[in-house]
Amino acid sequence: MSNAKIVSVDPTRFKLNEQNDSDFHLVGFKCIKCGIYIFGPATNCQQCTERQVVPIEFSGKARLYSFTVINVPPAGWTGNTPYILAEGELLEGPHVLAEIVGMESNELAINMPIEISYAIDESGKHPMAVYKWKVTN
Amino acid sequence: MQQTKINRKVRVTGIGLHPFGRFRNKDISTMAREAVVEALADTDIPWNKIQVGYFGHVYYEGMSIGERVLSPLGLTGIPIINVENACSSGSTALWQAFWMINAGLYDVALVFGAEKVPSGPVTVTATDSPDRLIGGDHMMGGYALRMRRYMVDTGAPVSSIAQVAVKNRQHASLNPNAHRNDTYTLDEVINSRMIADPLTLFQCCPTSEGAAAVVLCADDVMDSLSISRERSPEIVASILTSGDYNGNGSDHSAFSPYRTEPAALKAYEMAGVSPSEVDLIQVHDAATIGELQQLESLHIFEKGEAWLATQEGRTSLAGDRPTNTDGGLLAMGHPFGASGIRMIHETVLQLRGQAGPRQVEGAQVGVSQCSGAGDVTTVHLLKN
Repeated sequence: MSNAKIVSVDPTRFKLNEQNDSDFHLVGFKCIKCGIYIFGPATNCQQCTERQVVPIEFSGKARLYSFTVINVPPAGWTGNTPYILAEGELLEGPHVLAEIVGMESNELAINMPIEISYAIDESGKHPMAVYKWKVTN
Repeated sequence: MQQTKINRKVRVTGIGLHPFGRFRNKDISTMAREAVVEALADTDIPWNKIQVGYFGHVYYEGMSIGERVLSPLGLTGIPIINVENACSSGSTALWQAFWMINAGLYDVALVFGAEKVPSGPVTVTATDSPDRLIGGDHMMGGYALRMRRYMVDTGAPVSSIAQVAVKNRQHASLNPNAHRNDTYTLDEVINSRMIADPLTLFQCCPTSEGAAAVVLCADDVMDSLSISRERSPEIVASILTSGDYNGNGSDHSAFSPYRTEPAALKAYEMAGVSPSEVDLIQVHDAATIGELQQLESLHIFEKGEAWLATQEGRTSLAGDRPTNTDGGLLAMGHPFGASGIRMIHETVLQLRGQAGPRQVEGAQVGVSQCSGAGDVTTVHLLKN
């Protein structure tokens, strides 16, 4: 196991506590005016364009909105093929695309509860924490 | 203020097309120029009457490529604008030209588009984007997510969705310019190689090479240029929208299958045309499910019912809502920058009554809808 620092695949969408690898969250913003949540970077509210949006951590809890088994992966994909791509609808509203791990596709059902987790990708210069969906136990 | 008022009638007076397919030994400029020359000849005006040019393309082929395409025709000094708006690049170029003429800045415009799309799955982001590691940047993956959800929500079986590919292949078999003009049975479509479950290979459009061009002209200068109105349908609506908040975040294609709806409603209002009056439909069928959801977005069918209409044959050439009459993206092929203009080419051919064996008898009103990644949608309505 290398001691190299693990970095988030995209700190604007996924935050990992370097001192505690069980402390991780999808991140984004909440609009103080209309109350909607935004996954990922934002300078203003996506709905009402209000400037005052506050950074938040998402619960990571979601329902499985849809999924597909990708047999022909895109260039740059370093994981296994085929892989299951899932569209999760966070309890807070936003939809998030990520691989779903730990289940076969025939075990999945639309609307089942899922939650965010992550896996370490070692393909690059630094180990990278890539967020993944998993089915909630 | 949003502009949706016609100040000046604009007509499509000339059309040109380089066949869609794979042309390894031909560069993009040559293909584009051939389409342009054909469109100029079709409208029967000389190159030096063109006052502005808009070129739709996506993949990098060097800077200012539109200028390089046109320079062998003669250096007339006109503004030439290169337009990139994903798969809607060509239709965005058309939108710009339409509104420039409508606004009175120019009288005659050339709109052209071309592409040589690389083989393999289409991705939207840059190669170093985190999305490549996350695995979410997969165009057909996005359509597959929509397809599974649509099947659950509507009860549509795979076969009814796959029927779109069978139908569009049949249309393309009547079109010598199509990338794919061999036909397939439903079983062959369903049993072709799985790309992103439940989407099989023949339910995904081929990535193609090709070019298309149209000449637009203000109605009020056509007499002085001796251009016939009879073969020049009017653009009665031209609408372009980008992403909006849809209640679940950004209006990404994987998330919002009905993002065309606002553009469609504006287009019908601008034209004073209702969906039931449309005789001819071209939609962005990058995947089979795309055609169904675009037809529903355009209010040709109720939401969740386009699969039934397809199953009943209503969207075929012989049906009451003929859709993607030249084969659509699924069979005509998809050279990104050309596709939106190719739809106008087919619409004009049909409205002129020149579509040969795939002619829709008596077609008077046609709609063309083109989508692009990054939440772009265009809707154009043409009328005889």
